[in-house]
Amino acid sequence: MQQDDHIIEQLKGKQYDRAVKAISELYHEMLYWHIRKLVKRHQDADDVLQNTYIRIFKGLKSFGYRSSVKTWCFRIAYNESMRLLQKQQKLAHTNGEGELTDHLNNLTADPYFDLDSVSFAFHESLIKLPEKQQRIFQMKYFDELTFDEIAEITTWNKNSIKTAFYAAKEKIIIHVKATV
Amino acid sequence: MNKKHLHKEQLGYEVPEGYFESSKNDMLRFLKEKETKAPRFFGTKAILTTTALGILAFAFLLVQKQQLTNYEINTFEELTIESLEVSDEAFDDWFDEKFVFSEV
Repeated sequence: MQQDDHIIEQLKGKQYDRAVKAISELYHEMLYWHIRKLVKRHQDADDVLQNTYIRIFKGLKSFGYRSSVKTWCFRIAYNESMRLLQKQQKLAHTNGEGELTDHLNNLTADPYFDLDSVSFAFHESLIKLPEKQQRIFQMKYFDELTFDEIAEITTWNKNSIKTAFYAAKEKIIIHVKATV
Repeated sequence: MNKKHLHKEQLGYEVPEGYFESSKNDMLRFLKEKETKAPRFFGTKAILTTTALGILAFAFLLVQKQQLTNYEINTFEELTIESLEVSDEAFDDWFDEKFVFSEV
């Protein structure tokens, strides 16, 4: 939060260049991983990250101080990722392809996905989760976001997020125990 | 465990060598270029508007020129008819008055 304060000071002083630099210093890697888990492929994540930066830079001037800078950036990244996924789904639908949610098909085409290094039981249980549970679990487990932050980013209800997270966690534990 | 290893070991996600540092610099450079780029005076809309105005102005001038030519033809015809009524002796004076001096 103190790190956010520094950015807010720069925003109040209309030092947008410095603010965006500070954001990149703090959240660049976090934003990338947040996006990557949603869109899966590295190249897509890179494109979405660039669009996210453009939106952040454009939006800084009208930043409303209603949420933290971190949550605001993550929300932009989340929305940009959703936009790409919707576009891909539409395209797949037009081309008459099957469901794009086939996680592994999408991933194995990515040169920056290494199946051998993955804890297979964990990964398998994760991809078997419904999309919403998967996203929530990843945001909580990997991005270490709080339930409040996830609710703000996704605009989902906080209680339903909690329920989805614990359900996902339970399913993963059961699956991993059964596999190992 | 740092984020990079966590994502690699548990999800299998990898990134190219030195990706984060280079992509961070690329993004910032890209934003800077975008910002310093001079605002385009002529956008697509402006170009279309200017072209449309140009066409209208050209059409207006063309119509005006045509009208002027028509006026000149009419005037010449009237004068030619008028000249029939002028006697041979008075013709030189009449010609000077109607054609030569009127154009000065």
